[in-house]
Amino acid sequence: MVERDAVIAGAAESNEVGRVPDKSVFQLQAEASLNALEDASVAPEDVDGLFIQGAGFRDRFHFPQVTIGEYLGITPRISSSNDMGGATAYGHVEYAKLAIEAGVIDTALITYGSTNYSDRKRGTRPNRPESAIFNRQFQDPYGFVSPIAAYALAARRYMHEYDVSEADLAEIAVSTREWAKRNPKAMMQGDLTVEDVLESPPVCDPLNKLDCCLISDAGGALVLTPADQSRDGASPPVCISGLAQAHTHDVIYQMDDLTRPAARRTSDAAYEMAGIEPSDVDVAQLYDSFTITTALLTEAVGLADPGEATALFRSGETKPGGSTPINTSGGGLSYLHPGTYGIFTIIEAVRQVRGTAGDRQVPDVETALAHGVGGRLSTQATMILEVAG
Amino acid sequence: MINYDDWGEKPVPAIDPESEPYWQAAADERLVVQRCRDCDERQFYPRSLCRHCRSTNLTMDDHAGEGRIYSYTVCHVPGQSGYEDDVPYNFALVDLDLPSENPSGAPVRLPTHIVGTDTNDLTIGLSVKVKFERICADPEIRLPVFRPLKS
Repeated sequence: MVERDAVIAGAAESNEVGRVPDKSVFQLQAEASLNALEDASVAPEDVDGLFIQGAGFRDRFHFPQVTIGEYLGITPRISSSNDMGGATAYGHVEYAKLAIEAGVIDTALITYGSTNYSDRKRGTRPNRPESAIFNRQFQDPYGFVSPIAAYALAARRYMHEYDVSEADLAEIAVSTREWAKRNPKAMMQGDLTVEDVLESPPVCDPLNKLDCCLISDAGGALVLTPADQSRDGASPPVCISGLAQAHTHDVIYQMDDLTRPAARRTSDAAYEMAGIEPSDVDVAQLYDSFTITTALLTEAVGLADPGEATALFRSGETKPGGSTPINTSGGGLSYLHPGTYGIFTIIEAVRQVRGTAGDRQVPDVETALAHGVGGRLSTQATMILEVAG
Repeated sequence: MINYDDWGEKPVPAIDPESEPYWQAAADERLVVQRCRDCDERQFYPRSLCRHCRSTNLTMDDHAGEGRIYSYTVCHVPGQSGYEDDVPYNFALVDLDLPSENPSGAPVRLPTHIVGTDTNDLTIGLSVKVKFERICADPEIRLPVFRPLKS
């Protein structure tokens, strides 16, 4: 067993994000992959670990990582299409890290792509369960709206347990938009008020349209290598000091407590690995599929007490200049959200640690937390990133 | 208001060997809950093993069908085919009353519709009771829904 640490050496998204109707999902992944490989100063032929997630592949390709390998001309030593929805990138990082640290591979490429926005415009439905089978046979006949109804149920329960209002949840969207204004690639950069959120069309009560993430096109990629293999021209590497993942259920009606996702246990484990506490986190990227997601995660990772997340967002401390910056790219709510968004929380965390986040750079970042969620609060993963060395 | 007599293109449960006892009982207008004979865990959805202790020594018990709303939402977009003309409609989670807490601590929680009440009167904690709606003739499936329980 070779003893060495794995680092994130490259992180990038596709050249274009947002509304990209003229590029296939393969192309978006390829762009992101090549950008990330260049960021890491690694040649594509050096990739020996390939980890992919591709929305829309699952029901069209038997083993999607084989298809992507063929498209990219990569024949990897190990590969995976282990899909955990929005938390997939975290799972891939874990396996890539393990594989590198075990000496099995030297260069892992993790990719993701989705054309969720353009698919809808083209009339191609993104992947959805097509019939009421297995655990969905008890749910879908009642008209379950996937996935937003699950999050709406969580929001309604959370509001009930903690006497939180829709206006309170809307503060999360307002805070996140302030960060998006500083991200030139963000889809939404206009002013946003609580009233705007409350007056936006209801989707699944209590969630309105502006409580919900965007629908976008984008690719994203990360490259991991051993820490001791510095490459000329590579951007500063970033250490993964804490990483943990969990999935507790598939369908929402199998979740014991809709206000307590497994994010608590994954962040506890990540903090312990990193030897830090929530107060040590300088900046946090918390998956924001919906305002309720961010609220639950803010509490689960210990940045607010139970029931107090929306008060934190209302206080201004999560906004630019605040003490607890959250979702500094503008998040899924205002920056972008293709089929899933997890890899982009990691990319932003990497940039914050490196100090390359431009106008949205939080001063003096040493420790960043990123957290991904997939499914119906089903999959959870926390990552702690720190400056390498 | 959802018209259960005219189910249209709405999803129909794809009954499988593990769910058949549940749907067979529902067709008889009986709500049954699976119980593990080894650890006394009551679980939903029914499956081939106990989620708590992994025993296969399972049985189905009749249940009076009473419970409380754990959460609900009102859907303004159709989530499934056939629901286009029914928006807005409610989608709720109902926790069935149990004589004793499960060893796992987990509820027996059913996704469902709440019927016989105005959307504005939906509240978490509302006591409800099951009723069965016939949604199609072949096979004869009855869908459990819940109505407020008059106290």
